[in-house]
Amino acid sequence: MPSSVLDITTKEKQFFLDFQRGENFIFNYFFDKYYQGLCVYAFRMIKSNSEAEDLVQDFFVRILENRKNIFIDRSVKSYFIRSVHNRCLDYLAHQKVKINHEQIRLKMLSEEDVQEYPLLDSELKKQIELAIQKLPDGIRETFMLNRFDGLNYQQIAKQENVSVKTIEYRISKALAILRKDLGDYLLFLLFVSRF
Amino acid sequence: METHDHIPDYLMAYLKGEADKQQEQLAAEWLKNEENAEVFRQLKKIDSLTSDLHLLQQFELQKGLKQVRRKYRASKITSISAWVQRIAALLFIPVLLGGIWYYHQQNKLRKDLAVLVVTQEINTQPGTKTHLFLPDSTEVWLNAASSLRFPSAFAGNERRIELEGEAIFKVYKNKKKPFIVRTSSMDIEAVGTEFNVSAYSGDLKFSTTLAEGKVKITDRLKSDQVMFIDPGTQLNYNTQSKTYKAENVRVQDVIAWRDGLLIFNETPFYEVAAKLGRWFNADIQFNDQSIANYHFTGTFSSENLDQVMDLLTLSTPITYSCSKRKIPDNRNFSKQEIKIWKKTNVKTQ
Repeated sequence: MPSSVLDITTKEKQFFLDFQRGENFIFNYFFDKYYQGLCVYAFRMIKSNSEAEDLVQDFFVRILENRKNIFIDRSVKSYFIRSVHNRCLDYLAHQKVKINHEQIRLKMLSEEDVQEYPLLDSELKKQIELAIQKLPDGIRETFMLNRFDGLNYQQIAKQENVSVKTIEYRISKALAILRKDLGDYLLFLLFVSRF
Repeated sequence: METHDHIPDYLMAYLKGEADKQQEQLAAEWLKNEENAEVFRQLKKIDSLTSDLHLLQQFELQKGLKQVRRKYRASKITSISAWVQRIAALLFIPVLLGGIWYYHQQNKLRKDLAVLVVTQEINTQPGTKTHLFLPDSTEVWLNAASSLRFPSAFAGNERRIELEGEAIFKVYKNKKKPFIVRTSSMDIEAVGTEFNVSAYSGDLKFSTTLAEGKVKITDRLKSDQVMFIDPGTQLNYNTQSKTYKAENVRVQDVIAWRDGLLIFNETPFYEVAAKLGRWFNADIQFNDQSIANYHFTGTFSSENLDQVMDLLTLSTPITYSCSKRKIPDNRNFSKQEIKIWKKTNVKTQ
């Protein structure tokens, strides 16, 4: 296991303790790193942009208010994900009518779930963007249209004037290259929330 | 060795969850190889992470930070008096054992995550609360002046923890491993559910209140005495007569302390005094024992102790006096002492 993994978890737990002792500026470190990723997480669960934003903001307000009354057992990241997850569950429980058909998926996170969930934090985003910059030209453009601009294969094929098959090929090629580039970093990610 | 430079069509289809029968079979065959399976896991992560990229842009960081600051300021203004009051108590929160056992545990965990189990204990001081997740993902809110003991990992076929004081548990569902809260007089067992337990030693009443699911309560002395309760029900145990009594309650009121509210509903005064004492780190005593049986109904949110006491004197025939909080050398704040008298009617001319 890469030693830097433990370092990040340990470092963040230490940061959090410092924050609890009154080092206010550390709040910004956590906010900058996790805010957007947690919004995406909440959005995927409750399917509403503004509600997701609201919910994650309320979570951070609670962190500020109750900073002394928080106990981080495993990692800050794991605490954040679980808290936001359970807030989403509460939100959905209040909207009972809508979720009946999805009820099976509505459960609390297991330890494995937390470990496996790739939360897109700002550090990771930076690494991914660097790796994307290094993709071969044509593949990079196609991939960015798909992932940054949210265009589907048909739309991109039309715009680039190539077949959908070609787009499929480029996307799969991009994923293969990114996996090779980011493999180590991802392995590391697997361990991050384990402690 | 394969370099995994190229992802076959059937695997892409499988990744996107659009594979037909034949593609699924091919994928399953390919995934049998362990190295391939790891590659696939990484691919899935990359796919998921990069798919999040355009969602991420919808949430503006600076705008978010501004809104959080604004909400925080707003909440601070409304609760400033309570905040000032409680900061005295907060000042001496021991930084919860964190550092010490963490390094211990970290070193040990490096060697073997599964085998080594250490018991952890978390204590809250009067006037403080703690929020945490247990190793099985169960969410816990620990109320003031309470203590919780739990293992660093739940080995075996049950999840057993010990509580002294009050806590709300949102239990992670696991039918194979029942979740058991042990208190000094009973065991409370749940599978996946949300409930509040109040078991302060010295209290006349221990209570278990169920928000959802089902729990089973076993008396520790008489293990044949087994009770089940349903949501909305509170099972009360009288620590003197050693008897149980079920009652219907408003669950929202019982768990309101989690959100910083103290709600009393026809609550006997001795119970009110005990709760306020733990909430504000005060020692409240009655000069006349008949006061103990008065009842009080009301909600407190951000009031400080003086304001609460003033409100009590308005709604019940009492007066009170209180000592100033002393700050001793060891930086621990002493309890504020409050005495309550019966109000004597002053005759007017």
